[in-house]
Amino acid sequence: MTADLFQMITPELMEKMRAAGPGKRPGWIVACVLLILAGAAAFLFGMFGNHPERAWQAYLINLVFWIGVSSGGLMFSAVLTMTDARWGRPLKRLAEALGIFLPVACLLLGALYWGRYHLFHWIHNPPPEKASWLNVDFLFMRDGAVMILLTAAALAIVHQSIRTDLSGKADVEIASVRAQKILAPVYGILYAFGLTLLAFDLIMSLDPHWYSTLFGAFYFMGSFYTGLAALVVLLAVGVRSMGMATFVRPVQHLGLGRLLLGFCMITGDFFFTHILIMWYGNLPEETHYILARLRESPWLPLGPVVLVSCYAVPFGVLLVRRVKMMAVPMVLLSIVILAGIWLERMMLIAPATWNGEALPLGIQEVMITAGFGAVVFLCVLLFLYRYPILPLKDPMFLEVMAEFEEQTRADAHP
Amino acid sequence: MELPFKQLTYSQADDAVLRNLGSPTRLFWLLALLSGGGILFGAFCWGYQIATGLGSAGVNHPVMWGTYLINFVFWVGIAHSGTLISAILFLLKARWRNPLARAAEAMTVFAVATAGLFPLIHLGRVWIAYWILPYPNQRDLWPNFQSPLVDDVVAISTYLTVSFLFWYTGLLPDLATVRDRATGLRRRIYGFFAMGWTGTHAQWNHHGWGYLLLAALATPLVISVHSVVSWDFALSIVPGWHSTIFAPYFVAGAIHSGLAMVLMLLIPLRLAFRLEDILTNRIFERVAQTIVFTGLIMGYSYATELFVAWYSGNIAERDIFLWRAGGPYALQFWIMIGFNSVAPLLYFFRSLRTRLVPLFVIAVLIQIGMWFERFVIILSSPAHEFDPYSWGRYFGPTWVEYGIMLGSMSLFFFLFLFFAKFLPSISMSELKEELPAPGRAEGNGQ
Amino acid sequence: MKKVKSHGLIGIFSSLDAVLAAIRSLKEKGIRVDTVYSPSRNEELSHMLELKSSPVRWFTLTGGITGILFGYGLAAFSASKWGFIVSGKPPVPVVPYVIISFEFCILFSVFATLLGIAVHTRIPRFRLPLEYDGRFSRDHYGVVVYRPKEELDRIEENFFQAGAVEVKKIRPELGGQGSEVGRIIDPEVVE
Repeated sequence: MTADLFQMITPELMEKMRAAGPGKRPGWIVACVLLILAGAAAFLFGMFGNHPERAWQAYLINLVFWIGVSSGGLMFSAVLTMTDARWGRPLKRLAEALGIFLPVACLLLGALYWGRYHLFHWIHNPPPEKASWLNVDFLFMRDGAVMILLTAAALAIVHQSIRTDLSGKADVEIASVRAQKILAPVYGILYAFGLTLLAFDLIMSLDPHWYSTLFGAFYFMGSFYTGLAALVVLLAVGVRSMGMATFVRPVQHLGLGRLLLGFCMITGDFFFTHILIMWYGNLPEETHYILARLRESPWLPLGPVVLVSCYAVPFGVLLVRRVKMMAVPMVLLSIVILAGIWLERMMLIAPATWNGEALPLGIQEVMITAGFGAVVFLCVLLFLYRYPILPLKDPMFLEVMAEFEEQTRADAHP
Repeated sequence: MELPFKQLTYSQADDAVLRNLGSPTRLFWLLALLSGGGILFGAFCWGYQIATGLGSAGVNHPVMWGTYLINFVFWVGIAHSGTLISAILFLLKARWRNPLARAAEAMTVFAVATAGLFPLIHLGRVWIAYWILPYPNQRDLWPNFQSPLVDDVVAISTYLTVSFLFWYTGLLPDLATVRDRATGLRRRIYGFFAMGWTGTHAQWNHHGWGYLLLAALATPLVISVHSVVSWDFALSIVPGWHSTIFAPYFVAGAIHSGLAMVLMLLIPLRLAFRLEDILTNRIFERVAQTIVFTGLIMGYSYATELFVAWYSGNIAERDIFLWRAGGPYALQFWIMIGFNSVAPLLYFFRSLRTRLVPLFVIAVLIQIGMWFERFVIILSSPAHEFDPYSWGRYFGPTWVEYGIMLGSMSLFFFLFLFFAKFLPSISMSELKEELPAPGRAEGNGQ
Repeated sequence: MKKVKSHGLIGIFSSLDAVLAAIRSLKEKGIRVDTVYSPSRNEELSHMLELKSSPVRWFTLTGGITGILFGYGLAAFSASKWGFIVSGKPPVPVVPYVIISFEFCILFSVFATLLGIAVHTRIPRFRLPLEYDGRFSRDHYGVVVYRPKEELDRIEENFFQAGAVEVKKIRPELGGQGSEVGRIIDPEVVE
């Protein structure tokens, strides 16, 4: 950064940036805790009721969905580091905050062990040719290991990111930037391979006779998509209620919106590819999976809803430039996307576990989902209580802020 | 923010690019002669094949597709990273893309043109190739648009047209620059092709929007074209081909080999034209880092395919992978794995991605690896399908195929050579958008 | 090839700040700037000139929609001619025809975009305008204004104050045809 630009970062500006954050919000915390309790209650009620598999499938859907949101959100920070991108820097800490859910997710994954008989039918009918892979001990060990590795990488990135903001020493700054440059691709590789493994084990194996090579990529691309959508919502909350308004300009909203459009198209392309290949091949071992989800009741309405809410509507809306800079439409759209991808995960998981006649989508699922969502938001909130919401000492962030200041002064005195 | 290339003035930038558009040198004529000879030999081989039949190319039961398809996919693949650099990186506002863009787009156009010949070459009765087109005829016959091969025709011709038009649209302002500096007949020729471009604010505005829209359209086109090419294989049920990951796997592989080709073309170009100030090591470093990324995607794809082949429990699927790894094509298989997913990791080391020689050498390895990847995919699966009675081997490559391969590489090189000599290989107008405006250069003024 | 009807001035500037200053001074006086020549796109210049978003994108959209309809229409038409049922799939399916629709969508969008660019930039044209100077494609900027003869001296002074290196007068009585490519007929050069 040139000397002229550096002068724009006055101590007053630094203080303002440091002061940004959620502030004391006991109301939010109470709301989160209540939602978590409600969700837990709904889950326990379902678990001890007539259809425990319904509660467990809701648990699994939420687990894979929110792991996706969380790890995908953190991936945005890693991508910023790997590409030396500048526009997204004000959002970096928010993205990292989303990743704080991952340690909790490790525990929740472990808790899945108690529901294994309701979810993994290959325990009752083990396919002999896959027995060495699909057995309970190996599955939970490898998925647990992968989650722990992923979480470790994520926490390492977050640690390096906040380290400088707290210490204020120049050599710490340089060391942490270098560390993040190494950790980001490591996290990226763990993200791709790790989420692929989770997808293969927790979603694809539910129907052990079906397989798709693209399934892992479909899961982690879709997860990045949901991470971006969650970031849009979080950014809107940040601008509205967490003091980020002065530090975020239209260029950030535009960039995030464009990324969202791009990943809408990529995820949609992967969705379409699955259908295309299996439609042409017409092989029963593949088509039974698709037909069960698109042609058989009670899953019939899900397909069109998913297509429209995840791909068709976001694509059309995000083509319009102005929409990307309007907070309310973008938040609504992101919520639609998140709900749509949730339903897509349901469409993948539920037909393998649920045998009832009616669609298993009711109060129970809503409350469990709200509970999970509240856990994620609580993690974000508690993190942002302790640590700055902006990456204060990130050199590129400071460059962006300096340029904003320069622009503001130029606009004031043309 | 620091520029990845030297902060030249506008006129310095123009001079650096335009001084190479002078009269052709002896070296130029030598290279033109050599590549022209290669083209003629390739044409002779093709003529021989038309007269003799496809047997002269080693094509027979059960492997109906030989090196022609390998080369087709190879060249289409190379074309893709040109569009990646000029269109996708433009949308992502990556500044290091700027000096590479024009040459990369040219590479795309020439590679697609070369690739487009191969579907014709691999036809037995090439004189009725027009039957693939949808035109009303007396027998009321139409192409089957459900076939991925027909989709290929549409996709490749669309890609050729669009990439040519995108390239030409970007060239317009630069052709005007050349016109204004040229005299006599050259001025009239360049003036004709510059179409009267004058650089008014209205022209820049509409052109800029148009270029952005073309870039936004070219991006999904890139992904769809190589996905369609991959679906030539994936929409079958042949073991080793019928796999959902083929579309992104091929697209990533295309970009992988294309970026390697960018290095293989632009490193010599920089040396020949003394463009060190513009085609800096930093830019090549960025290309190398992107290659690491695509290489990791290739590694991911290989690992996933291997795992799911086992997981599927399908004995034909398991067997094709064992046969690829340990059978008669084992050497090519391991070259593929090593050169495509392991060699690019060498670019993790800073010293290897900031010096021209290791950059070039590793790029060549990747190019070879990617050619062998198509070799392994295309030749092994039809040779080893479901029914052991139908198993066989490919009889080639024969001398006819080697000749046509030589011809295709010569054609590509020939076109690029003429491009580099007679057209500005670096986009001056786009470069100027990044350089400090006249009167604003730090230090010395104009 | 517009015939030059009225008097005008061409200000030639060798620095961006100078041309921005010149345009600013013209704007302050309410004088409409006819054309600004520059060697490349420049954000500050566009901002100063308050350029509106180009309507080319509507061409693109129209082309795209036409392409989708044409692509699917062509595929559906050719399939319906014989109506084969293969593997129990419908004779005119949707899934594979998405690809054709998509490709034609892109192709027609591109053609339409280029048509839009051509219509709005008025190229191709094969005679360079009288005002054009070869330096504009290299590293100089040009500002062209058309005003009645009386105002020209004042504007010329503004140009030189802003930092112009040269100012040319456009005189319709000298002929006024646009120049052919290769031969620019220089209007009278003013010191």
